[in-house]
Amino acid sequence: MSPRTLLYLYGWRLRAHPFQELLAGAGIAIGVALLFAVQVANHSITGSVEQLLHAITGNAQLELAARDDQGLNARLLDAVRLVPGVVTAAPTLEHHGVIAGPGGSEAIELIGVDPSLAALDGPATREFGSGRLSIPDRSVIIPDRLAHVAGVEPGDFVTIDMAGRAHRVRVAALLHASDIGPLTGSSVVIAPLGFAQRLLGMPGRLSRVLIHARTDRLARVRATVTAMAAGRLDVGPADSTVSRLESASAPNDQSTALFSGISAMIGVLFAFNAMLLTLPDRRAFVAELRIQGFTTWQVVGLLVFEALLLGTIASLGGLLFGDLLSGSVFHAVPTYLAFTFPIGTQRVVAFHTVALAFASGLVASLIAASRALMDVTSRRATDDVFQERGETGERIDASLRRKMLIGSLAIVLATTVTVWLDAGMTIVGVMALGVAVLLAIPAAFARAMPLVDRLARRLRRNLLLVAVMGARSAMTRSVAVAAIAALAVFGSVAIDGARGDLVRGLGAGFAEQARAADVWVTTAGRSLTTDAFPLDASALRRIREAPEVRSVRLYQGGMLDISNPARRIWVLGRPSSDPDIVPPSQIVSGDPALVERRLRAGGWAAASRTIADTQASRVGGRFELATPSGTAHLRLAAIVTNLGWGSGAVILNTRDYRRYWQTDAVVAIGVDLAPGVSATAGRRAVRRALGPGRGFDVETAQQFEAEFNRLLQDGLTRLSQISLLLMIAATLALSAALSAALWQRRPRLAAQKVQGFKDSQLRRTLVLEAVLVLLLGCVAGAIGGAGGHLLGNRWLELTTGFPAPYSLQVTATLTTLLTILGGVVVTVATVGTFAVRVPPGASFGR
Amino acid sequence: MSTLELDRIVKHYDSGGERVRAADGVSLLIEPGEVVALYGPSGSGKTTLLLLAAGLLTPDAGDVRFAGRSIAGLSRDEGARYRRSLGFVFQTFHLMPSVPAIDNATLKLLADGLSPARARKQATTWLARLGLADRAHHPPEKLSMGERQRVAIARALANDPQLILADEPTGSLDSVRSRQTLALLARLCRERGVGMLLVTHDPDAAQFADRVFDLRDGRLAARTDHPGLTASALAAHDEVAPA
Repeated sequence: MSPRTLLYLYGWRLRAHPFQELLAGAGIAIGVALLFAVQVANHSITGSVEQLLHAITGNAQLELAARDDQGLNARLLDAVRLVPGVVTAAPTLEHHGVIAGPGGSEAIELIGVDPSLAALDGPATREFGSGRLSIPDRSVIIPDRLAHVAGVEPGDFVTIDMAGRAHRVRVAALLHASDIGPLTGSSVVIAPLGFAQRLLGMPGRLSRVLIHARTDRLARVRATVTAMAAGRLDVGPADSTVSRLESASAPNDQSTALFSGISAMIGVLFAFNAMLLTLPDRRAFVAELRIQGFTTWQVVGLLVFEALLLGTIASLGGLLFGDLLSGSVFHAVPTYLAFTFPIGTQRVVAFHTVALAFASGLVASLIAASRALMDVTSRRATDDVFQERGETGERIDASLRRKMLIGSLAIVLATTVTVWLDAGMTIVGVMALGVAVLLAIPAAFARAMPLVDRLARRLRRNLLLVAVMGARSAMTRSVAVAAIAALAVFGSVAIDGARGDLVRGLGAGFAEQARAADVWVTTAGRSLTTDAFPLDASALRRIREAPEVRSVRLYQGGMLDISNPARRIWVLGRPSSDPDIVPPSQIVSGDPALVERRLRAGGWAAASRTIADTQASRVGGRFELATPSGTAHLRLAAIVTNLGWGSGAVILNTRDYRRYWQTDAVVAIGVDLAPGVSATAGRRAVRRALGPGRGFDVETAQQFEAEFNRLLQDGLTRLSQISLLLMIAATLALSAALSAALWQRRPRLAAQKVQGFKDSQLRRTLVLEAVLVLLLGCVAGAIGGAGGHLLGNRWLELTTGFPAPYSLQVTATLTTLLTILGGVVVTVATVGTFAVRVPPGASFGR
Repeated sequence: MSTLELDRIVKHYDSGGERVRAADGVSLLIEPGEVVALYGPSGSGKTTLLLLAAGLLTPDAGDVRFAGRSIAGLSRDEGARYRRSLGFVFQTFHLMPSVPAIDNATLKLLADGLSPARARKQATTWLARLGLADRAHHPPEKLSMGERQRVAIARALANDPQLILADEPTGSLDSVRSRQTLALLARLCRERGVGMLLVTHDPDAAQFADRVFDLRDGRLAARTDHPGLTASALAAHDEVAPA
């Protein structure tokens, strides 16, 4: 058939069933939108950093980098420049901080540069070489977006909080899109190198040296520079930071991908079920076409064309909706990542992201059309469709139901075995479980309805009996509605369950850390205790001598860049006087009491599984860590969770930390208050002791824990959004599906009125039927969802290292179930009120 | 035009563990332009015979031949082409809801590969001949039962079929509409030299057939040769007959 004829016939479908077609399209669009938006949001995090790094590093191939915030000696720069084959060696000094102005504040990356950087020809810095842009001393330049956030203009002053100090700095100029392109979305503050060193109190120190070498000498340059690093610095590709960010954000990306994958699958299945609502008509139409002499290929061509057209339009709609979602709801960058990486606000949309989402929509549409296609393979043209019991095309015969149930059980079994053997298969496994739930619905329906029938007869509930008869006579439609409910509950239970466990797991660890002291002092805006600040002896003495203070403990640590594989891990140096050096809830492997004894003794560390596994270390075994002073030879006291940091964490005592890091800088001061002193009074006393003009946050344990939890919720925002969107989408999809089904049934309602039923009775029957069908779906979904939740948790713990102890979340499940059920029943009652007003004459086709 | 021949057809079903003989050695010949009625109560096997004639069911024994060729061994595509040469009229019309009458009438023409524009042109002619010119753009829901059946007849005849298979075509119509519809079908068959197998349980339908077979338990129990109504008598019943 020609495309014109195919379009012509598709026009028939649209005229006959516009609402159902819209519903199917909406289901596909929702799935595509969620998948696309989440992928864009995830990719933008690494993509924006990649853009920034490439804009700065230009043609540099190598970097010689310090492993932590303390930096490297600037004299190494001169030595590198003398290495034969080095064309350019440009220094940078980088540090995280917070910029604040009258308009607001934002986490930033301060980058100190010198004019040699222009020689690397990076888009962000080449203008410095041309002389078009220059930075006066004691000034900075910032992207115009950041100036807008801070509410400043060139010539104005901003405050930059870094390393426990607040600095007032003049903004010399703004970087516009014409200067740096999409990097205007980056949160960078560029300063002359010397000024940056003074701001940070790090004269003669650098973060990294970017090296552009002659290609033919690259290997030799690398070897020479590696020798210079002497095992205390890292030598690697100039864009190693991207790999480190990927490692840090991977668990978050993976967990988001898992949930967006579940959502996408549910979107696909929504579409499939929306198509199921139209299936009786489609099957009847296919049979009609075949009776009228359409060949198999003509029918297949028509069905595939319809599916592809619907898929294309719905996918395009989904991409547009997804674009809106990624630019609004999903746009926020997780704060904890912005603390340690220069993440920009620009959205980076890769071709593969668009292609994947679009292809998913097409596949969904084809899957949804598959049942009608199956009729084409039947030898008989009528394919039983005109000879079935009940309404035309509505029957799902016993043999098909049995096959579907066997398929469902086989999938559950195969999934359990596969995921048990390979946790990496979890995403596929959860999706397979969703399909298994779907396949089990017809059999569950066929089993449950006779039971309800019997119950209704025994209790003499005639309206319930009529409701059961209604549900059974339109089996495909009832199963479709039950399946949508099942999938919605499945997705919500699986996502919310895993998310809830993650919140509890991380929250427990944070609470244990926060409650270790009554009052905490940290660098401003850095409650994750990742930024070190130099210890001010006089301020410390004043805190200790305050009458409200009983004792003071110093906490050390920060981010540590390691290679092979490139990661930025979180190191916590905790004092032996801490009640719990390792938060007990975060120990995955190891006896808590023994772990404490070993860490207090020194020479032992606790590490996340992802870090320990790279060295094949076991508890009690040897464990090596590349520190700024060289490789530390330790022993592994315990395997711990990743403490919420994707790349993993290492905990050791502060004596060992000072030894290997050779620094007294601290990341937090924990203050225990004298008996009878309130937390608020103690906090005021500590703030007084620190003196004015300091870039510190002083918080009570309660505030500190609340701040942790805020960051935690912020990091999991996307999961909450996905879960909420899923529930809204499910309620809407079910409401729409049931409304459409109700409207189609007006002739039968009219016939029932002829038989003497009153409007109110019919309305109650409709609500009862909806509740029956939905309950069946919800229960099946909840059972499947509990399995999905279990798999999701296992995956989170094993693959990502996040703490997520499993718990059956009955309240959350019931809330989800009742929310969906309540929303849909209200819709059915409303639409039913209008549907039952059909005149009895309609039953005679008038 | 071609002849349909049912030769000693046997077709049995299992229904609830019981063996049902839907066709038990049925032989029947329908010549071009001849209207043959199969009369019988529900469950007598009328529709089964019609489906067998259409190649939609395969007989357990015996053979169905059309234009001298057995339809038993037809491939799927050959079967589809065979059905394209037939015109189907059903009791429940089988029209697409919400789709205008003119579009409904194009279905077989589209299967023949005509463009939608040409198919609509051809369908318009047929609708006009059946007195539906002013109702062509109405969907089935806006048409009376008689009008719906005429749309179905227009669809059946639009591609000049060689045989019409009508399954209780008047089952949904009142007696006046029934007679009008049957008269219309019979007249068109004779005019065009098209054979028709009419399945009915309406005793009045017999007067429009050339031959009437009484079908009981899958057997042709009695045969009534009927001269059929004259052209003028048919016209008297047929409200859309040419003047």
